[in-house]
Amino acid sequence: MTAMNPPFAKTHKSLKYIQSCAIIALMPVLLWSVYLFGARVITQTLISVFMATLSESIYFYYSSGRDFRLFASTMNFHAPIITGILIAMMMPSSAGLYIPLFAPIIATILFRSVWGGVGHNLLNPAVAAAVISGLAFSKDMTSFVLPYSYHNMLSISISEAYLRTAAAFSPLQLLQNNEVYGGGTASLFYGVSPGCNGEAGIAVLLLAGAYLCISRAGNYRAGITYIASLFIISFVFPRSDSEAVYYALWQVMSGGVVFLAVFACNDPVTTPIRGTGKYIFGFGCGVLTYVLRLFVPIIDGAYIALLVMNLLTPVINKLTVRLPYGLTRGVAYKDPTPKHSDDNDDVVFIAHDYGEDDYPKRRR
Amino acid sequence: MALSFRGGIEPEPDLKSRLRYTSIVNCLMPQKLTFSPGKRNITVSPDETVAIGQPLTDGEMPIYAGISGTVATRPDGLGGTQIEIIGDGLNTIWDMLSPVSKPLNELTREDITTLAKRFSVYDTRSGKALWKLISACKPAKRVIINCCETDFLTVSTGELVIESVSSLANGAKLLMKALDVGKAVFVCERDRKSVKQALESVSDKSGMFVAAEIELKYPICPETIYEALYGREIPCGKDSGATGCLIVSAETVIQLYESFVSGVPQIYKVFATGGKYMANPSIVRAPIGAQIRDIVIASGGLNATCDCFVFGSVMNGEWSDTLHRTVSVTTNQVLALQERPVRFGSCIRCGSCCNVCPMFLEPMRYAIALEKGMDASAYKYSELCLECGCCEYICPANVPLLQCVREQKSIRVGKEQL
Repeated sequence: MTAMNPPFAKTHKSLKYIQSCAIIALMPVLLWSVYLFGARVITQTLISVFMATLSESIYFYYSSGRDFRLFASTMNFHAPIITGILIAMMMPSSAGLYIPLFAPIIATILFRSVWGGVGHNLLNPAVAAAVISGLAFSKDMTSFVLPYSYHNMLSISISEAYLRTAAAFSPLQLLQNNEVYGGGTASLFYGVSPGCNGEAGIAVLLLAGAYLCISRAGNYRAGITYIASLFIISFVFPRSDSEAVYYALWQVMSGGVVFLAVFACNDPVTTPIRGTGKYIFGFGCGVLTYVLRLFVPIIDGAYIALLVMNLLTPVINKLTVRLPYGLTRGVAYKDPTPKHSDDNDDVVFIAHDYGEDDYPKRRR
Repeated sequence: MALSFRGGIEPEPDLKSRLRYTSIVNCLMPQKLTFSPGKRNITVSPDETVAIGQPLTDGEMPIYAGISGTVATRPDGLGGTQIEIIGDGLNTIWDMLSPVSKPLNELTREDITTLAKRFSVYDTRSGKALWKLISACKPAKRVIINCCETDFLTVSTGELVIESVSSLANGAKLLMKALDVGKAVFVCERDRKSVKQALESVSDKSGMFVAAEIELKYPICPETIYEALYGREIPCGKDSGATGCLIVSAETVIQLYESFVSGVPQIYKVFATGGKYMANPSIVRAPIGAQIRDIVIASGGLNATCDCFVFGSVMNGEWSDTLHRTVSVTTNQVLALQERPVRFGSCIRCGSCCNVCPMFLEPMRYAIALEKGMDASAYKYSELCLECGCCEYICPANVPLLQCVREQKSIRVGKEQL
């Protein structure tokens, strides 16, 4: 019988629990976008999830020495499912079906498995893959359609003629071109506006975020700071003739800001460890989003801002490191004397154990 | 508002359910007591008859017999000798036991220290001698009495406090007298309302006591209590005495007073038995040196075959596959638990362990270093670890963090010895 080590209790918040919570939180977002943009979203999601799971499984199978039993017992299927859904949520419904075929492979292999699997990646795989596919298929990723304009769920790419009937600029594109979005704030809040699948309904995203916080699978710190800092900066430096509040709301509610604040900022792997670090992370994201939206035309600045802050996470972790208990800053650490002194007096009553038959027995 | 400290874990639904006990049960007089005298010289000869309260060894804190019976000695297999008392069932009390003759309010600091030595009073949490804690506490400012439980499952300390709250108050007065301080603080947990009420009933009368409520968190140890009460930290490498606070467990204080008035030294220990496989979870008062196996059998035995016994808290207790152990001063809990699965996993760098560590360490660093096969001594604070087990409890990726830190500690100790 091998000796067991304490603790003999374990939290229920395992990695699988956290990831299942994220999947559950993504479901209302998925349903809402299906309602807004039609069944094509389902096709995109299914292909994306399938490709993510397949590519990660294949990589993991080969990296675990082609041992199927080891593979089956240690493979974590939750991670690629989340990545798959996230990628599908970060593309417009009119995008060709080759994007969900291609982007998850990039995400799972290039941005996670090669680094060493869950926990070893520096960048958020889904966001990184969305940026790459935004660069590679910029036409697909930037041609948005009006809500309730449902398309064939199985056609590989939507023809130009069909697209032209429903094409519209997204609020973010209008914002970046210094034009006016006439839909109003309410349409942004409920997502009844052109945009990517998952980024549309702010109300639904906030619900998902609340669920993550209540189930303790996520943390509100980074997300709230992100949204708040972007709002404040846009309010102070508006680049439009409209009322500053509306401009700031427009900045926050268009594009992927809230989506990233809820899902990417809650990723335990690529965000800072400590609370202070999370605030810094969120603030950095907000500032960078505002700045990058001025200069980057094709891709939403929020994505790049998040990736930049992902890269800075190790630095933030180092900056926010806490001094261990009882130490004072500036005083060099010296090992305290080991507790096991020769003073046998104190440990006299420590219990001894005996075998039943071979009594007395040597202490274990 | 309950006081709180940084780090530590809050109970989750599966851990929150305190075991339902009735009250403290005196265990039937055991047949046999076993002691290891350590460095003390045995003063009784084999086949001599001893009575309850009779010293078995010399030394400034002797070992006392908890039952009456015949003495036997045998080698303990480690080069020393063990004393064994085979009970005669008569429970005769040693006729030379006498309570303190002076009125208790006229005792001086020296008197109290000597008497604490004579009655062999040890702190039941840390296992340190009470007189050493008293003498290490200078300049004395506060007496802090820990009425919290060892973990979320047990209620033994609370029940003991409710049962003998007046002894607790009087013992606290003795300690205040010994240290010449004017105030004592009782620390109890937020969810134990009855304990709080009992403590407040004492503190109302005199005004010398304060009952402080601490957030329901684990671990509750001198370091975290001090931080919760004062918002400061005990300097590294020093005990709580260096800050002027004497932090002792409630049971010690009760024992001190009861020894002073009855003359019986510390020969009993109150502890809880529990866990999934314990047929009749209870709080037992048993003589020190008794076989835990006998006590468990007397209190109802086990439900099923069990291979996982934990001596101490569920979070950092010692494991054994048998119950062949003796009751010691630091036995606070005996659990018969379900075997826990072997933990293995690779760190996902989520940082949960860093956020729950009450010493603000970064246990994940050890795990990462071990994964990479590197020497983890780059992160040098392993000696500060309390081994409370919070990090491993909270780890979502199942990394055996406590084991990693313990290995690191033993490596460091080995290096020092070389």
